[in-house]
Amino acid sequence: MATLKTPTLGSTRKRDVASRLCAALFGGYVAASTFSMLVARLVPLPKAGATTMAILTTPILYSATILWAFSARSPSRAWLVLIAVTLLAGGLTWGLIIVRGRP
Amino acid sequence: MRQSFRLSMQWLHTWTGLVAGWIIFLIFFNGTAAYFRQEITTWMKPEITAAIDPAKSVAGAVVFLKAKAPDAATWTITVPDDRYPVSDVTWQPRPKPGAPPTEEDDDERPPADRRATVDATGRPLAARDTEGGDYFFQFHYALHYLPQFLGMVLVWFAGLGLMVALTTGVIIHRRFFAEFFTFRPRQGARSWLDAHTTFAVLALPFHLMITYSGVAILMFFLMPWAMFANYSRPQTYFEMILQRAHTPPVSGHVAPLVSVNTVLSAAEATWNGGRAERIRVTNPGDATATIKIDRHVAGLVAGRDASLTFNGVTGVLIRPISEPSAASTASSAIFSLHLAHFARPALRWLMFLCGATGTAMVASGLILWTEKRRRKLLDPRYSRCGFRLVETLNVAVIAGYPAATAALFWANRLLPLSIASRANAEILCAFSFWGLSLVWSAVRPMRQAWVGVLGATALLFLLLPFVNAVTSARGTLTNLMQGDPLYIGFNLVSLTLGFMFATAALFARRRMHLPPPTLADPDSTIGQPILEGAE
Repeated sequence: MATLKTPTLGSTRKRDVASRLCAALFGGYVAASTFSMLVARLVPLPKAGATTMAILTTPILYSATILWAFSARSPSRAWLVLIAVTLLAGGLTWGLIIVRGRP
Repeated sequence: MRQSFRLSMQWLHTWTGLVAGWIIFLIFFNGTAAYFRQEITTWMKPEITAAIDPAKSVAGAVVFLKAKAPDAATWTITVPDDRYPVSDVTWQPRPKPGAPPTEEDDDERPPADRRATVDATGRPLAARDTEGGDYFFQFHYALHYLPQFLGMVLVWFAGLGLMVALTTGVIIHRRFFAEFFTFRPRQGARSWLDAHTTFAVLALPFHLMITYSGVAILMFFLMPWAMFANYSRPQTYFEMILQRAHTPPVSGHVAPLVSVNTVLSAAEATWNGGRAERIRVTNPGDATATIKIDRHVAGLVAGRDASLTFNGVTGVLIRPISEPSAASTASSAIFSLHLAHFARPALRWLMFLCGATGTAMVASGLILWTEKRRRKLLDPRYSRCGFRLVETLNVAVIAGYPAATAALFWANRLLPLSIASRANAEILCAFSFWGLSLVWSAVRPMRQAWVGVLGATALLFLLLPFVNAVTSARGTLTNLMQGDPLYIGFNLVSLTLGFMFATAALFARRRMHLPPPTLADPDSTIGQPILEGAE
């Protein structure tokens, strides 16, 4: 992270910030939601307890994704990781729902 | 995105803090006031001087409701306590036959013809119509005039912004305690930075707790998608968590209601001396009647048997089908941690002070943003519009909003009692005053705007105790001599706020005569890493 050029002011920089902002707000929302679903599946508690636990972790998950979006080396990297997290957590949750079912 | 992780976090701290800052200031200010929601309501209804006698008040409330709404779907009665000495009652008409059973939302304030304040004899008290402390509570999570959902979304985003700002703030301040004990006065931006850090560190555990719990509460409304991992129907989960009361359809068989006071003492015996806070009677006068009694949560964060339901005809306790789950206990613990209903006076005052510290943290942060950029105004390439916008909003929010709340209290005392929808008129007064201070700060030169609005706020708060003494029997010197803790406390807070704003106004006035900064200002050597990276 230490070796990159200082971003110059101007349209490149504006696009950079706008992309990170979208990644933080929208990408972060989706990634944190999907990850919280995985948490709800994996926490070893009764269903209602696990769900509450997962909802109570979403503030931390969402702010972590926001921090990530602005600390990643480049906006595309920020997006890439968020999308990977979403796909991975979403896939696992979906698989667990298919295999174990839900009421 | 900057040269280093810390500088990226510095950038993020600056800009989330700025963008979310004004809403966070309003949330903190109103939320802090809402710690004394009941006391403010009592202050805003000076007609209420009744001595506290819960049993008699409840009996009186039942007499009143039996006469006023004998065939209601629900009655609710609040049990008086030392924070609010009389009973508030509300009632809801029965739904039309065939209509689906109603779901009660207890947060909604029913219209004026379905609520009343009654005394121990069952007569309605002629207390003035006002929202009281509920105004501050509602504003702090839904921003009053905005549609409920939009207000909550904005508050939620601002809360997330604050969470991000707190986290990044901790990351960028490595020398935590050294900075806590550092204050360099009269050095412009540097002094504001020191003040900002001090307010933040002073009550950091509180800031973290209140921000997290506030955002977490809104998560249940705005981001509860985790429930789809375990439930295909979200209602199943929500019914489990919220335990909302459903009103069963009436049977049509008339049966007299059991004495509410008997049921009340039975409940209090079950709680081993715990007190009741609210009574809810469903289908009074019908064979299906039930009486639900909510426990007063003073000294209790979350506990078993927080509410008991009795048969409304026989008075027999109906055992709940299941114990509250760990899930609902956990979520109600988060709610009560944030709302602090459990806090006894000393703790309540401590939390009030912590909230005030948070308000000061946000205010000093917003001012710091402008102080650090003032020099750049000398550079012709730097845009003045953005700077001017931030300064205008700073004056209108930091100095202007407190003035608006003072105006609310003035309106409460000075508006004629007879005008229609007086509760709304009071709030309209407050917002008009706020709008006025916004216009004032937009048209005046900045320094004069600060002095003007801060001075007006100081004056409004300093004179409030006197306005109260002139217009109501409570709060006069004779009354205070007899020992009226609520009014003494209110007056002291009002005077303290007045003095604080007066000091701020004098401070701003002194700086009005200072020469404007130049490019060769010694301040320009503020080259510490903390201050870099933000532009």
